Amino acid sequence: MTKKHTTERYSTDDEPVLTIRKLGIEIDAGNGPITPVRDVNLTVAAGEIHALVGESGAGKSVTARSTLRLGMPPARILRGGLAVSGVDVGNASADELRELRGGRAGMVFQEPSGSLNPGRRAGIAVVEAIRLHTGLSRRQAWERALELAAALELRDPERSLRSYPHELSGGMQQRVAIAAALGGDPALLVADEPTTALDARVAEGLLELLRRLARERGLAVLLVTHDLAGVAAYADTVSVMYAGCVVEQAPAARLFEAPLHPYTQNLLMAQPVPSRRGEALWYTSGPAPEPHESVGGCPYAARCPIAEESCARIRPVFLEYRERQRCACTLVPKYVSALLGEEWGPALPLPAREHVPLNGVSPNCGSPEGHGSPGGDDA
Amino acid sequence: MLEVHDLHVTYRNRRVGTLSAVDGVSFSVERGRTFGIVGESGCGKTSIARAVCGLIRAEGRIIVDGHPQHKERSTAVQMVFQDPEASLNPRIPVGWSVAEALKARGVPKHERRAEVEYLFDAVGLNPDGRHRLPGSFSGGQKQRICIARALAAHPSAIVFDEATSSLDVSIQARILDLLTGLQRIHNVAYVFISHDLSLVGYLAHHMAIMRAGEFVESGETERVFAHPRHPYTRELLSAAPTLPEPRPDALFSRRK
Repeated sequence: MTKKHTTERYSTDDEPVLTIRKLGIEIDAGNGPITPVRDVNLTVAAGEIHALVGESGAGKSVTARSTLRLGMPPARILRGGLAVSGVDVGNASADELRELRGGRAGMVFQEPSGSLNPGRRAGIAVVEAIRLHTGLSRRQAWERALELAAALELRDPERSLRSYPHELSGGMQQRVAIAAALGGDPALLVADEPTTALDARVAEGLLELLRRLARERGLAVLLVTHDLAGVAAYADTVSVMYAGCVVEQAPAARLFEAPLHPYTQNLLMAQPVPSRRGEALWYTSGPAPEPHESVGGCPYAARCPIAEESCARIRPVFLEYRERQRCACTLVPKYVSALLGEEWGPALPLPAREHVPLNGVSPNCGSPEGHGSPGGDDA
Repeated sequence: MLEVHDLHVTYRNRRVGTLSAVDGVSFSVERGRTFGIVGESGCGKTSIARAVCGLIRAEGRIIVDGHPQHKERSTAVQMVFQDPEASLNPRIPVGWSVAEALKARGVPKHERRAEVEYLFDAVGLNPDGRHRLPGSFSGGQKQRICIARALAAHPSAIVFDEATSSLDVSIQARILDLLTGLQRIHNVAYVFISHDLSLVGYLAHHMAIMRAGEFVESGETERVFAHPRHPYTRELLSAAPTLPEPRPDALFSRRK
């Protein structure tokens, strides 16, 4: 049974729940600063599941954690900014931050055991999250926790919530962690590899659940994952990250049907799947740019199988090639008619919509706007 | 050829009593072929791997190239673990780790250096790196060193226990390519153990689906995917979403 990508049931015209604009993040690692996030632009609307994919070190987790301003300091926003339901995360006051964490945005991590205190009953985490953000009494919060547990399809909610974390399976622990993250009734759920530690069948159930939560509650979900097949089946939108930059962004169905960026193509064709038996997988040699290196042109230039000499110099522009499919590659304009056939529209620079009061955007930040026309000199 | 007949692994625990992890498993792999074992966590996959390599006590018969394996450890079956971090001594240069395996095989001292260099080259590492400590290598490189060490013993079979699970997809693709090449050159049998059905479907010639210590189904990989017989196999196959194939005309031709 293959799940087909369903039509988008959220509206993209509404103000998005999460807006990330030209985000760059720097971390002082002791021996000089590193920039794990160089240039991230994305929005997540209510009811949308937005997947962030890419290999380790691409900056996915740092991006995800920045939505709750976690890890700052030592990390700091170098340029650009992000907003959750209109609150500028970078400049939030202590009160706003308390409201943000758990109230406007909830987060779940790869290891559910990390979100739950091993010495306390699992349900306490949920009750505490609810009480912190609603002011309900203990009894009312317990009732609400039971409702949440039932909505999260925890078997025997009462018993599960009264269990200690080690008495629950990994999948059940993760559901309790999600219940705790949803305790403050947030508009945004940030899930950092929530299924990586789980068996395939359990992971599938969890993704199914996330989609139901998004659809029924209008929850915006930012999902960091390595599971591309799961993304194809359950996500609405995908952002592909490489070396701290979003290199391609598209509705899931379009991305998997016709990936435009050479890195996206490589990522998809490197997956070992039964249908590719006996064929060589795609891979490229050479390391990705380290987070302390500065990138002049395209970050993928050194490994790109179709790179031209100019790629290392010219920073690619993030362009829209067909509805909501965007990518940053100077060579794509050259190939796009072959790649997309009749479907491609004229490549348009993205409209510069400023949702967020941005703090200190430096002029040389290498963001999409203001870097030549589609195709540049190479078209 | 590696043959495993009626393998049983039981763990004894004072609190729980006896626990049967592997309950009568049989399979065989010819040299140059890959046998895949898929199962969820706790099904006994790793116990099979350790028993076949002689790392834990097991009942049953393990026959390598016609020689029954006894209790003492032999080098005929080598193992590559999931975590290369934990399987290399952080305090000794990686070249030594590989040379140890040569020593165990009885390669005289003056020949070891050339052989280590050859093995490093075979797994795509610069032989000059043999003096460095494991800490200065990336995860993918460390896994290459572990593969070189396994090959150093001239094994008949290598057991890979989730050997690529912790690697990124492009590094995994390179390692898988390397493994298929090495299998052809060195004519070894592979036992590839993974929770990733799709990966085993790509790599293995024959495969088994494991649950609660038993093989519920085994056979040619193509057959298992196309016509699964056991309900559990069908359940696993339907649970894993399939990755859609990109439109072939929408791909750049691959220039390397």
